[in-house]
Amino acid sequence: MNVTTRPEDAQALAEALTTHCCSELLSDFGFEPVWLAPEHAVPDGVSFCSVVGFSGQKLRGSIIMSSSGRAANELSSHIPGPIRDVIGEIANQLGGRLKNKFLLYGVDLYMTLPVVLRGEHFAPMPRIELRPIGFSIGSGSMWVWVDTECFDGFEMAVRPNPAEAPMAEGEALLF
Amino acid sequence: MSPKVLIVDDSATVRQQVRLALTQAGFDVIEANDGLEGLDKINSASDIKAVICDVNMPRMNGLEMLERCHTQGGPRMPVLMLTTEGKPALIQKAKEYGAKGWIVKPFKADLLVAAVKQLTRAA
Repeated sequence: MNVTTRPEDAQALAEALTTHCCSELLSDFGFEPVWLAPEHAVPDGVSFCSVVGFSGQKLRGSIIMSSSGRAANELSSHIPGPIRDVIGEIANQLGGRLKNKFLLYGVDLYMTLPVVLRGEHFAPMPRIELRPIGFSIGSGSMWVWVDTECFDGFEMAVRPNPAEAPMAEGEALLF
Repeated sequence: MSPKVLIVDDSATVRQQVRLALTQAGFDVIEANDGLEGLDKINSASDIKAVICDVNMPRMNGLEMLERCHTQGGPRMPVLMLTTEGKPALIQKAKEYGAKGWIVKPFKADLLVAAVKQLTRAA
């Protein structure tokens, strides 16, 4: 199996997979996200931010999800529960999907429980320049950043291995 | 009397979604916030017909809760795991500890209801 040890490959894969996971997750919740360009990456007014950390052997990082008040209200109108829990659960499920996708590349990650914050204008202060993944939800906007850090000895498959496939989202199995 | 199902999840959103799906299907639903609370309810309530349990939770996770039930002689009722995890090794571990099923979030309400109906009929 071909492997890579380059941190930039891990970051690029994390961003590509996170973009895909955002699209899948929001579609599963009944939304049709419209992608926003990174230069519009400033949510206005009240923002809700959720952070989920992940770590594995030689790779760790965070997913930071920032949602404008209007986007949060839109999500909350479709998904039952207090806004705090809705935002936290979306970040949690996004993290779960990313973790499952990374398994296909031989990378096993543990996720932390989500932290949810409320304030005005959230953006990460990353170690490296991060490209935000943005989309509109109703009349609001959401931005997602994924930040990875690799350590000596890190390696990852360059292509997904179907033999490592986990159970898919929405699937049910009775024993 | 409606059959009673326990949902164990630290997310109020998920507990509400499960409650909505199951009450519409004729079940009575009680809740627990984490594995410790879930274990307490399993041990104290004799009329729970099934348990739906998340994996990643604070204080005690779902697999730890299942393992405790297993060391106490196995869960008295079917336990269905409902989680973002999909790794085969975790599923196998849950099966060894006595779980009867596994659903990866987000769940489809009709699948969840069908699974719970099948498990409560078989129990």
